[in-house]
Amino acid sequence: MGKRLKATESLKTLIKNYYDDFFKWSQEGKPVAWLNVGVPCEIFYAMDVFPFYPENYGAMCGAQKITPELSRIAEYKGFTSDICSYARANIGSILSKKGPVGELPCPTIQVETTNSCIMIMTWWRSVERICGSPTFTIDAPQVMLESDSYHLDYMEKELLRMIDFISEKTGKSFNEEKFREIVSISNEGKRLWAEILELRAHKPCPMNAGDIFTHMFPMVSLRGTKQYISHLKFLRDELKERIENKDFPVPDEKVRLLWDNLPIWFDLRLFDELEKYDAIFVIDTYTQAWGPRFMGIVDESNPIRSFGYYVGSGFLNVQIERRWQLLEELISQYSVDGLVMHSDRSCKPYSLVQPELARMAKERLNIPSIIIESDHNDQSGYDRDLVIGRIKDFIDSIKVRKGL
Amino acid sequence: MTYYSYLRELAEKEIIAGYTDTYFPEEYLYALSIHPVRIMSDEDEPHLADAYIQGFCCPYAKNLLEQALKNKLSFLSAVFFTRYCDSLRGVYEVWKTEKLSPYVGYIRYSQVTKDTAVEYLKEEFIHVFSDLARHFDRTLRPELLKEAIKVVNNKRKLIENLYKARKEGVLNIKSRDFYSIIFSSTYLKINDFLDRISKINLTAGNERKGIRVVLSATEMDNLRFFDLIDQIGFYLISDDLASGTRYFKDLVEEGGESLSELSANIARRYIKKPPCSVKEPSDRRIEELIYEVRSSEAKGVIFFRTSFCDSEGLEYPFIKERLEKEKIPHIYIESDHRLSNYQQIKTRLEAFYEQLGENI
Ligand code: SF4
Ligand code: SF4
Repeated sequence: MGKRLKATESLKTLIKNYYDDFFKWSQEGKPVAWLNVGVPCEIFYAMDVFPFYPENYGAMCGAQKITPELSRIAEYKGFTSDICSYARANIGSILSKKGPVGELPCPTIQVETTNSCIMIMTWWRSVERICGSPTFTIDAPQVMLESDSYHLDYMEKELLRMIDFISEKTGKSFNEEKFREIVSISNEGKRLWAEILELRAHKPCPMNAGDIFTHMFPMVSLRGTKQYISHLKFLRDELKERIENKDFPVPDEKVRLLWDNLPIWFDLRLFDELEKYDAIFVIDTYTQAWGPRFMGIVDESNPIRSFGYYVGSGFLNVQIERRWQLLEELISQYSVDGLVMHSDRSCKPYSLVQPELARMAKERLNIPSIIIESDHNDQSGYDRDLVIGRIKDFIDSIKVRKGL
Repeated sequence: MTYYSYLRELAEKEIIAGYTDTYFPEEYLYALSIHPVRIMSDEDEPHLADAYIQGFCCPYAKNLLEQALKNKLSFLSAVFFTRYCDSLRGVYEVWKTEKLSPYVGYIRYSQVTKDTAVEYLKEEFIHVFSDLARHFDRTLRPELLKEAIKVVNNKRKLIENLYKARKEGVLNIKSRDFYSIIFSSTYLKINDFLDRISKINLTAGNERKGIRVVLSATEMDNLRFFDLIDQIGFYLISDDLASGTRYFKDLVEEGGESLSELSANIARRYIKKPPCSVKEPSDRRIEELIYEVRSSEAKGVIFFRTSFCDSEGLEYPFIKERLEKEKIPHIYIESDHRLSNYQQIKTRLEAFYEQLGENI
């Protein structure tokens, strides 16, 4: 149970180096931009502006179980306890100058896009008001299936305006040649990521969900850098090796599950724990957000427009029709027996369509679902035994369906 | 006649379309001879909606869904959502999937309050309302849209005048009665609204007693809340509500002839109007709130937040800070449109009343 990947060790170094660089840049007064995950870091790397993702930092707070403590600080200032726990952790960190990596320096600038939730926009606004860091919002009106016609023109213009904003506020210029190089590296990594995700379709599955969530870090923060490619190759090769050596986390795999929504960052061991019931999470919807379906392979002949397309059609910027298409594709590609939907109190745009999606899966494909309520980052009120018990019952019911 | 019975009767004669937030450009509906109605909340418990959407969806948004699932909104031939907040977005997805209205429209709205969004939003309006026109076998004609702009501008001016009259001490009626009139403007035919205004009894009680306060919230349309305010002894002189002062401020420019020019004017007004906290930047909202307090000589602010309303949850600390800086006393109330914790709200408001009374 809980077979560890060698790549996880090298990931730790990667994360440490990234944070060391972040602090070094901040101390040296070089420009640092806080971005939400929908904003393409490639443009920032091309402009010599350090891209920092507070959501990733939030996940770190979650994993270290310090969100409730940081939240209390934010709540003391008047922020309410029912807003996204990422925001509470981040704001609490800034206000208290405490956190998983010590005091968090305020950013030089902030950029966010409206392509995931309203929370991001108001969270970035709050940081702007606390830190005084100029903020740019990439307006990304929500679409049904994808960015199209005048919507796409608008998205492209928004990105061009963002580049002007970065230049104006940091004095850094946009280096076209460097950008093209970075985009090409970024695309290579996205192809590797797609390969990694596809390898999970193997029966038995070579990698459980806890590991894939851990290894999202380079996809979020390092796209376009050399270390990102080497890490993803290492991970891909290790999975191939596992398949060749028949070295699987659940060798006698009986139930293949899909996880919907963000993971529970403070309990990634949950997935390992369920392996003893011969069940494994073969795929999830969250890591797809960085996969070819949503973050896409950028058109290198017209990269800004292409980025505009993918920002406009981001995973949480599409509507239920597209979310259903994705589920349908994943259920078939990964031979999924059942859906475990994490109804995440913090994340309304992800969660509020889950009851409908569960109904669709049942009615259209006869695939059962279970909805468990929790929070991705705040362990207050989390009842681990209850969650495990409910998923175990679900696994048992699938075994019965399958005549096992 | 109640909201429901009035609209049920009207639906026999004409097409009615509902909308869920005041970013919806009702001008287009007037141009298409479709009657626009803002869907108001009611006090039903979310028995049916619970099966479709989680408990952390804002109860206000969830209530709209409950009404639709109970078939209470059958007078609406179309319902529109805009990209507003994440709770209403969830409700929209259920509404559409369950086909809770014959036509479910969606405006891929801009979230920013910047001029750069005008061109895009103009195109989106034309696209959305051309589709609606086709659906009802009508044509979106520029001359009718031009006329509709005037109609809605006049309605906004009329409401603004009611607020002015209240501030000037001419319209001294109870808070409940005043807001009942204001909210009726969002569902009555304009002539019926004018008729209602003409019947206001200015001599009934001359109620301008009590401590003047301003209400700040996204939406609050439960008249029991206004009753409570009256009972405690407050006089609600003005507000910062999406269906209140944020509704009438800023008019659509009346120039232009083509569909494109007129739509750009409409888009500009909705982008630049006093923003709700779901829009960015939202700084003007705080300025407008301070203006309402100062211009009405209010003694304090009641800030009402609906539970699970994300944008207000993040906006409040800054409103608080600003009000403190301006030395304007305020109280933060968190509840839902049904006032589930009525007794607690009452006690807290009474304490606030005492506090303000001591400061006078
Ligand atoms: S609400 Fe969801 S999408 Fe938004 S910041 Fe929180 S977790 Fe991310
Ligand atoms: S109260 Fe807030 S969350 Fe609820 S519908 Fe209004 S804006 Fe949305």
